[in-house]
Amino acid sequence: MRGPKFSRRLMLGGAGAVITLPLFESFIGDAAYADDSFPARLICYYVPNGMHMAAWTPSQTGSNYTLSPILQPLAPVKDQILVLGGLSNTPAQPDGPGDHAGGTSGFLTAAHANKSETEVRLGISMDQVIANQIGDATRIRSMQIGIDGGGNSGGCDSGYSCSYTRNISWASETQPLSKTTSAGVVFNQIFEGVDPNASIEEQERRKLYKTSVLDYVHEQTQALEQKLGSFDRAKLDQYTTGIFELEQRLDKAGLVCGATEEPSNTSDIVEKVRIMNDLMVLALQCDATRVITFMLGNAGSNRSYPFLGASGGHHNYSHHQGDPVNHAAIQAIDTWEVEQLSYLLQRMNEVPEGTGTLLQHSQVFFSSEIEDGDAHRHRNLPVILAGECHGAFNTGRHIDYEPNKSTNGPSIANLFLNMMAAMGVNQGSFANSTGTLGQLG
Amino acid sequence: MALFKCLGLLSLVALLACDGVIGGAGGPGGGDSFSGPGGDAGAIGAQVMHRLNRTEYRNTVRDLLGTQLDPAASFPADDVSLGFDNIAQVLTISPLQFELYEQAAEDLTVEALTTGVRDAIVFCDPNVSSCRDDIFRELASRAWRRPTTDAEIIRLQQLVDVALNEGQGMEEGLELAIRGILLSPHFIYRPELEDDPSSTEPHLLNDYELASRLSYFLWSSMPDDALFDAATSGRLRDEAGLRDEVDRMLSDPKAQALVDNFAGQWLRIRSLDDHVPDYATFPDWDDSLKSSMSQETKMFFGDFLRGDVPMDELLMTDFTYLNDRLAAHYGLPFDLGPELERVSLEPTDSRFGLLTLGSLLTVTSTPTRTSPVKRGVWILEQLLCSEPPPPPPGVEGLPQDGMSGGTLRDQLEQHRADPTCASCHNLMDPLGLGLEQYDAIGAYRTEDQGFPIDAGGELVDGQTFADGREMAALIQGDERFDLCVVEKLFTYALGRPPGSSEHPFLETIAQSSAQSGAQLPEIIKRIVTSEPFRTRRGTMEGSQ
Repeated sequence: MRGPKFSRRLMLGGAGAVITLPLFESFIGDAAYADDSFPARLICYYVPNGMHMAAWTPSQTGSNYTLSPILQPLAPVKDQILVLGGLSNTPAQPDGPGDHAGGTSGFLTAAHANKSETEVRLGISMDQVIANQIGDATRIRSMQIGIDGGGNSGGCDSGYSCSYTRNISWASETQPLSKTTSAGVVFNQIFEGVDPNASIEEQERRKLYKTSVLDYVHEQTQALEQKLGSFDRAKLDQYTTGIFELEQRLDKAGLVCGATEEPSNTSDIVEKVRIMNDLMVLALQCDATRVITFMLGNAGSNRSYPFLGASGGHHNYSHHQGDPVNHAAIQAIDTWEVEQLSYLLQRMNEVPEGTGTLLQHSQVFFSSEIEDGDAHRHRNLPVILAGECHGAFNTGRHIDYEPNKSTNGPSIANLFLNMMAAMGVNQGSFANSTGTLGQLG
Repeated sequence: MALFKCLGLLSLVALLACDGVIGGAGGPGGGDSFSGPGGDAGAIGAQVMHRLNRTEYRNTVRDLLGTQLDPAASFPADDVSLGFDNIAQVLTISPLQFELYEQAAEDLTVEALTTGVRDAIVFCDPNVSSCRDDIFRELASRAWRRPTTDAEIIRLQQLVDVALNEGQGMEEGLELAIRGILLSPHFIYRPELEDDPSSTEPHLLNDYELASRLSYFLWSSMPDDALFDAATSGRLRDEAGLRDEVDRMLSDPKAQALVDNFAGQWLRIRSLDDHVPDYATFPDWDDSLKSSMSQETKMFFGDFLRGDVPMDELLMTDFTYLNDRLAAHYGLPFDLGPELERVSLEPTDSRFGLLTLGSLLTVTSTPTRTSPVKRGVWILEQLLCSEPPPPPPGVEGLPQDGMSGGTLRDQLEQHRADPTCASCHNLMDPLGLGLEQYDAIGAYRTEDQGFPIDAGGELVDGQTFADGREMAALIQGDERFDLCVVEKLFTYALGRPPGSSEHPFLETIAQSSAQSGAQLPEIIKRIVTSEPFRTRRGTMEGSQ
């Protein structure tokens, strides 16, 4: 296992601060830890409804390019990002309509969703391939975070189960990993078990109790399996997996850092996204996990953004029909989304690790379920890959893999192979990949 | 009654719309005392093990422990299929969800042992072993919704021993056992056991499994003592006993769950929470109007649930529920206070039933304007169970601002001039345009952007209507409507879609209900006493 051990409990935040990043005195400028002793980390950042491509795509390629209007907020980290054009996700193409479901379920799986309300079948997502290999090194194998739970009723997308429109992490063909939209839950996941007032003895006893209850539940689960048909048995496996993961966690080392204050659960979108961004940085910084997926909205979100002057629904605007009013609205929303990404990247860049920063040791994949909201295309996807991830990526460039926009460029799954390799996970292939992407290093 | 026809031209729609007639009426199922609608008993749809969804978990811990806590509030949202969040096949469990269950079990237990509800759970001296047996037997059988075995009780006592062996007191021992009960898969799931796990032959549920189906259908919660007793005494095994239980349960306040969860999703009342009309366009919109609308629809549906009004009058009522705010919003001259009251409507009033409820008109609009297409699709999908074929890529959507060319009707008519659009939009648009006299927050209007509104139209079968009221009457008279109500209830009741071989059951229920002008409680009883509700067919992997 890589990475330094920290015995010291660090406190963060002052009174009143919702969350303040802890400045790790133990890290700062400490040459005792070489940069490569810090692990590689991954965030996959999903935004709904595609992009206004005319204002997204930079007009030049290479390192000497000018940021497009939507990408302007990334100016402070321009040399740490790659803008990638021309990649396609053809398996995400749905059977008939349902592009938001197809694109979102295919977002990290590059798999083709079985069109059904009840028979959900897709494929494992690339973040879970990574978590399966490196997840045991951290207390939490991977985290799934989002903004919208999707509590409203009504159909999701054209005959597809909402499972396809609300989840981007898939543990298997049939198991989406539901995300939490509660800042409190994320916070507790990161800091669970941290009780500065408990003695070692008490902590040991609590662990024994938890283990005893989990053993008991495991026995019951096994006994129940005997009385179920094979389909229900398979369903109950999810419960067993939950038991195992929690048991394993009890055996993992304590936290790298501690916290003083739990964030409030807010319904204000701006505040909530900021808190979630902060929490993601915290989770990586504390090495609570190394793999995070984040959904800034669900597939085809129709959220309105009155504070951007876009009070019609996002999805409605995205079907712009070439109308300049709609173009202006989606450009405002797209730019705001990129601002949120930029905030995250800047926070990561503020976290010193050895002689580098958290951002330099990480990769952040940002994209959407489709290209243009009106055309619903699954090619020329808008992609940003941020962070060098220990030198795996030569950032600061715009690369266009398929200048002909009516042709399907290389599969996004090829990029996933590069991203997995950067995490130390070498896969010969993934989904419809044909090999790693060139030009990235 | 079949006012809408299935047109060969629209093959996909026709297929869906006519699906109900396949197979014909089945013979009587099973050799038991039930005289309910028949069908092929061998054709019972496969049932997947159900886990409690968030609402069910919340209600169950409330009824089990009387807790003030609401751990379910932080659970991930349940995935929705078929318009409902209780569809067993997509109710999965992630490690995060399990972790939250584990935390909830601990928090609920600590609370239960330290607050006023303790005496109800710890009703004897727990230092006496036989008392602990009683405590565990009582709590576990309620939590697991079935009698426990001696072996299960012995195993819970072993959890107590873990704490005692650590030199800790009985309290910690009790805590561990109760945590175990609340994290057991028998609590989190609603297992229906197979005598022969390798068989997919249908078999009758046992009494307790049936009681659970009943209580989660009607209450979204666990059985109460009376239902548990009914199961124990075998009263659920005959039709009269089952019907009596439904009557009793529907008169219980917990039946509000059917309003909140069934109607809340079917009639999209819940969607109102997430809907934000554009303030600049609709400065009247505020939380008070929103909650009045939500309340109106719930109380409106409540009348049907109480059996005050036959279900096939849903679209054409002479009443609704209003307060001062809503009456003013609707432009109706009632003198009302802030509380909603039942008011009588005249045939000349602009409100006439389900389709003119503000909540429904609002959530089927965009933030800035009405959407006749959304409204039409909603009617087709939710009232006629006839899903229109979705649009081909790249053609959906109208500009939302700066529209030119007159009313939405004019725009949509241009749209339908294109034959590829017309085939579907001829189905949806007339239904939505019939409601154009209600704006995007449900207020009555006669003009759209200065142009007079024509709410008349023609259905695909050639029947014409002059306005929304006439259109509602046509929809209400469509036999697909009767069948659709049954299909929605069935789907919600069983947490799965009806199998194609189960359609004869639904048809029989729908036909008999339509003939007799049945009330909703009667339709519920016919579903509950039907073969599919009382029977289980397991499923093997790959055999779905």
